Amino acid sequence: MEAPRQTLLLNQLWDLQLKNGYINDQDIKDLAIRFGLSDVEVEGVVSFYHFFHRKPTGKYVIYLNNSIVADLKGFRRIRETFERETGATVGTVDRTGTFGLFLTPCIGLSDQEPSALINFYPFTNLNAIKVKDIIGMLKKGVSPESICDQPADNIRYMPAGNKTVFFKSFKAGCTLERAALIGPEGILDELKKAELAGRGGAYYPTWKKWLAAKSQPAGPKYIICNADEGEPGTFKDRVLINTQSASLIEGMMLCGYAVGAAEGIIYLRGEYRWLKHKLEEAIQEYEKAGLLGAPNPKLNGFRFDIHVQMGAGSYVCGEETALLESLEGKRGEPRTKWYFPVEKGYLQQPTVINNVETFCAAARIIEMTADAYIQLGIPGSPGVKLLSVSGDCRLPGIYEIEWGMTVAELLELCEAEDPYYIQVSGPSGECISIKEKFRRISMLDLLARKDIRCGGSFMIFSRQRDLVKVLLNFTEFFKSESCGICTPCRAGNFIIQRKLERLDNGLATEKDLEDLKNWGTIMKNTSRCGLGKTATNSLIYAMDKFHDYFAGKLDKEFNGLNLRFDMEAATRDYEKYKN
Amino acid sequence: MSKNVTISIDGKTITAEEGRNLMAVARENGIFIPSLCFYEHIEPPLGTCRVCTCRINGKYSPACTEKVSEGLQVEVNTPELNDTRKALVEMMFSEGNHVCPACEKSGHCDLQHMGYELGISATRFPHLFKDRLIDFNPRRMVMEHNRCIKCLRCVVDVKTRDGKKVFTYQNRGNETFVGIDYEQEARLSEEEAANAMRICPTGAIIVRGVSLAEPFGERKFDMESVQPSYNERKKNIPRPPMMSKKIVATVSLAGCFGCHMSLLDVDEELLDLVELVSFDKSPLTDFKNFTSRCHIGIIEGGVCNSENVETLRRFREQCDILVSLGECSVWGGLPTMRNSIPLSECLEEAYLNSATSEPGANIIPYHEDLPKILDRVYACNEIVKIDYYIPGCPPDANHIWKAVRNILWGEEYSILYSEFKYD
Repeated sequence: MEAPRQTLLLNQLWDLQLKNGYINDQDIKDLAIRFGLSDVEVEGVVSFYHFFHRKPTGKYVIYLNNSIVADLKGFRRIRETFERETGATVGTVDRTGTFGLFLTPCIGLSDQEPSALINFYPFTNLNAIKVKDIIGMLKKGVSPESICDQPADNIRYMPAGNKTVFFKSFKAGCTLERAALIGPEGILDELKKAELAGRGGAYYPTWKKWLAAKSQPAGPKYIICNADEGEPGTFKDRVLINTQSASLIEGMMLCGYAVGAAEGIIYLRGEYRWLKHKLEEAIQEYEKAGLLGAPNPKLNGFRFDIHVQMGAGSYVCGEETALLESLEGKRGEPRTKWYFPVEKGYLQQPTVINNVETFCAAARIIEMTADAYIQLGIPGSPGVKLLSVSGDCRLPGIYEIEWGMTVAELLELCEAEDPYYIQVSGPSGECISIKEKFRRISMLDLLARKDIRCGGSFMIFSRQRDLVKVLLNFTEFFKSESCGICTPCRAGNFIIQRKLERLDNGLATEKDLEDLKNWGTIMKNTSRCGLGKTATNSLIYAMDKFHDYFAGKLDKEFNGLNLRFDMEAATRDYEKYKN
Repeated sequence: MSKNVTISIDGKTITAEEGRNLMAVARENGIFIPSLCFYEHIEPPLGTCRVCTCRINGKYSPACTEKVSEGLQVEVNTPELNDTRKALVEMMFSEGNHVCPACEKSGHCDLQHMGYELGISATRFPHLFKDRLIDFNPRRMVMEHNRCIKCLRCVVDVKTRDGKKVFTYQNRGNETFVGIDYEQEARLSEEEAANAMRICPTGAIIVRGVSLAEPFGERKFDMESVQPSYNERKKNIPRPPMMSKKIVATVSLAGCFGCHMSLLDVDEELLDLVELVSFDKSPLTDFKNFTSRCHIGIIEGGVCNSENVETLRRFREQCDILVSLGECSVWGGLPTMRNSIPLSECLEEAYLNSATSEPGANIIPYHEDLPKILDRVYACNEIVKIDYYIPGCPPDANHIWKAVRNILWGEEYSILYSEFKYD
């Protein structure tokens, strides 16, 4: 029984981190003994997650979002203000040990940037004055909890004629009677008919995944909800958890009932710690009603439990097998494809992993029937999809669109401002030019040549934005969020960044562009998980779609045998010794 | 229970037990798929280095994480896949700080071996020169983080008798390194410690007092390729337009003249050489300036100061073909050991704080007539286009001579495995 105990490691680390602001040497030793690990193993877990620190972080830990959308909305000024007001520079704690200031990629508030987390409570729509006030109050001893913002849900659009799928009111237990009636097979049939596919971005048919887990003979089986939406620019799961936790819980129960699992875990990203309480309250409601944690009268006595596990700051843990490792209290390194999670997943048992939107959709489909659901959307891609719209537009927020809407329609709805470049599905997705605005958003096209598949993030950039700077932001993100286990992703992102810097500094030639494309393709073909495989997607697409822009950045003079070399920069260090 | 299935690797039909590891099956059938992390007894396989990437049923996937199943179609040796594998190994070279001539494991190193097998003379990637510390704290071992390729072998395979890990990854992204537990390391037996050093594919894990020293030519990877067809690889360098006289120029930039010495090792063929070519600007003739346009310029050494930059550019202008000769010229070599340290620290250590300098008596030289020292050592191909690379420290004389003959007279040639070295 040694192994399962390590699943508690992350929670214990969280306790220490929150209590003391860091994890000290003695803690490491104690935990190692408690879990029967070597010190270095505990240390390895701690150093993997960026919300765990080995040095004191101050009484108030501030995490400022440095994603590209924050950058558009004035991140730099906010950072300066924080630094001035707290006396801490980024990555450090001020001299009095009161404030620790750190950067973190997207915290799921792209519709209200610039934003920050202070002691894991959200502060949104920051400006210099607001930051000054906040720090002033904290200095007076006001708790962050009492002055934090309640981030708005910003649900901007639902299908016309009150045809919303996700945001209707949801009565607890409403799906269960029907589920009991149609049975596990019936649930799978409904999902098959509704053509529900994994909404994390891979679009694997949900019924197939559930069926595969169902047909595994061995147990126990686990149902895991991936609430680790780390893709910069995505925040739909935040809104779903905040407003629709009941349909999420029921979606998981239905899945458990369909595949024969008794336990469900919601892996909530560390950035959403402020939603944990709400989610747990919803679970308790269900428990009180006797629908969870006890034989369920509405579901033929089926018993299901759900608990919440916090992540601790790591984008790659959104990859399903990395998430499993993290749930087991380990470093979030993606597994190889030697086993699929439905065969050997959590604790080497059959496991279904779906994201928040998928479970919510599953519950809604059972509630409204697949026949009603497929009335929405377009043939071959029925239903609706939640998009998180952010960037250069007047109305950032959640858009529940019917599949088949065109980019142009969406841009109009959100009142985009001079859109030029649109990043669909986040940095790992695809970038499109405004010239492609009549493409539809659907899940029809596997390779996304005609229609666009969108995982949820929809970031709009106007003509004033510098494309190379955007791509540099993405590369920096992937470089630091790579788990480091496979060569192409660990080294590749670093190398691509160097090359892009050359381009940004005007030192690149046509050959450099070719290299970028080839190297990006190598990373795509050889990386271990989706992070590395998709890290250079945008770059490769962008170089094709914005060829003139890139050509304009090149150094034409030195295109021959000599390469441009910045002698001044290279000798700057030595010039200091000139008398 | 388990049945036999038929698969096809590069068109060759192979029968194997269903569900077995494709990599192992390929090896048993004499098919070489390069790899650095694969270790047959580790299950599930590590799949970290990605060097064994093949096309399996049309999809890119590493052989080591594939189970054999009926009708599997595997492509191993296509120009594209070979280039991809080369790229991955090159990434490891450019990501770490691998200085073969100064490494204990040289000659026994799997990374180096893969470089030879794949014929990597120079990496296409910029070297990253990330500053990494060497951990001397463990009682028995030294962790040389500069050389680690993060293959995970030691993490999974080296455990104490009560099952505790001795090595674990720390941090993530490009900051990832393999941490060692001092306490657990001390509990390993001598044999277990030696095993850790052995399974490390590079020289990252060194056990104090354990020597791998063996004479050149007798080390594990010195003489024979594992690929029977290795020596049949033909090379052909683009040739300059024909001229009646063959003129060669050479120079040593930030180098030690060792490569020039190796040039002399072609022994009696030197007599042919003297008849067939004439040397222009070169330390061999002591011509300070070019007197004519040259067919080949041979560059030894990397670029460490402003004078090197100018000389190298002059060579590029005056020579039809430029050849980088030796490790320093190819990627920077030994002098790059300073690249992860700020220049000021290097200069102060050398001129002001060294054991032999009197406090206050010395200065760091600076004069307008002196070349300016660059912030780091650059490879020649960061300054000018280089046409051909001859690795080695110093390169093998036969390798040099074959390349030169090819350039001048178009003789097709192949480099023997034993003539291709990084040390």
